[in-house]
Amino acid sequence: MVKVTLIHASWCTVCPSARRFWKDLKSEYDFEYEEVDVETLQGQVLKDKYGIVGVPTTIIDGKVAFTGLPKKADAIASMI
Amino acid sequence: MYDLIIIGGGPAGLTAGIFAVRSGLESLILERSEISGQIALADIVENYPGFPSISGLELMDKYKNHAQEAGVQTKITEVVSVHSEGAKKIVSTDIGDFESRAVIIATGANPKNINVPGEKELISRGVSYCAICDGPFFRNKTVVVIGGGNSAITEALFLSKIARKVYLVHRRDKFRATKILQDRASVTPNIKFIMNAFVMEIVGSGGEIRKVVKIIYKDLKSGEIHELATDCVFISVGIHPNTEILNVEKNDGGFILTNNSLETSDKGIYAAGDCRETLIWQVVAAVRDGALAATAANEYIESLKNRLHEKSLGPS
Repeated sequence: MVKVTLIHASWCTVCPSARRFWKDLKSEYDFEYEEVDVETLQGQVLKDKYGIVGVPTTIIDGKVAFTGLPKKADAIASMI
Repeated sequence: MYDLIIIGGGPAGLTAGIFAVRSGLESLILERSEISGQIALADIVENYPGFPSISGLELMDKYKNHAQEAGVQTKITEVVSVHSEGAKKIVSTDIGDFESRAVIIATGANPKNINVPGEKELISRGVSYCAICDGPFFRNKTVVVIGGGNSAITEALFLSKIARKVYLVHRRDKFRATKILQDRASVTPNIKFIMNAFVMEIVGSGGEIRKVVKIIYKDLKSGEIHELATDCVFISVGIHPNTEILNVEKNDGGFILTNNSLETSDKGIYAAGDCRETLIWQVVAAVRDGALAATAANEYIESLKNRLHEKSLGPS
């Protein structure tokens, strides 16, 4: 199953939309989904691993797929 | 069928929604994301009357709350296209088609690219269009802001509180930004202006995870080529309108052309805010546009309804 990880931050104004976006998509499509705050220990590990310097960042199956809010069609295509 | 569909839930769209509800129109706002409007990305707004200093997100929340209290209906969906079928407007979205008598396009704009080598490849690797989102990743680092308008200087001022050094790189010899912002930036010790500088390339490091390491720019006065080491490049050189969903008259930049009532070349379709050609793209102008477009749309819808009513009565 495809795994989607959304990295977000408390200061980020786009992040609430991105969280809503992926949650809505999860109600339509079957994929594993988790959200990680970049300021947590897990977030820092992912930040260093993927060299993340912007939020929201979406990692799909171990690859940085999107920074910012993706278009729905692009998000669906990235999971096929 | 709705009387009015408003596409976009930023300041222009929400204002149009409030005016539409107050006019008694059956209306709906279609919005792509929960929090919209470029203004939500602004650290501080200081030129909106009544609010000497307010964060962009806080101002956007106030608009949203006001709209909700007024009874504005909103649906989160992505609009794919808008077109007319006679007097009827068809708005196609990813969840199906909506019909209305009139439409207001308030789709806003996105930051413009500078289209130089390295820009696209290094997005999310140190190239950014949102200082408030990505600035905190560059604490005590060196950053470059490209641009010379209000947004660029506001971003530089925001970043000066986080970064060790901020270079504000502008291709002209004067800024377009308002004097008050220029003055503020000029007395901020860790902001340095680099004028007459045309950015030619953004250069990234090698390795598995590439990151921005420098920019290469040309001094337009001397013709010399310079390199400037940096950890990040924030690009703030204007906006590109989100107007691909409809086929109406636009200028070369893609901004929708409107008449004094903000009506487009397609009767019954109006444009408001950053997506239309105007003198200033500011939240105060977007709000005014929303009010005007909704008022003009209301008059148009009333005239349509009156015509239908007269038709139903038959010849006198």
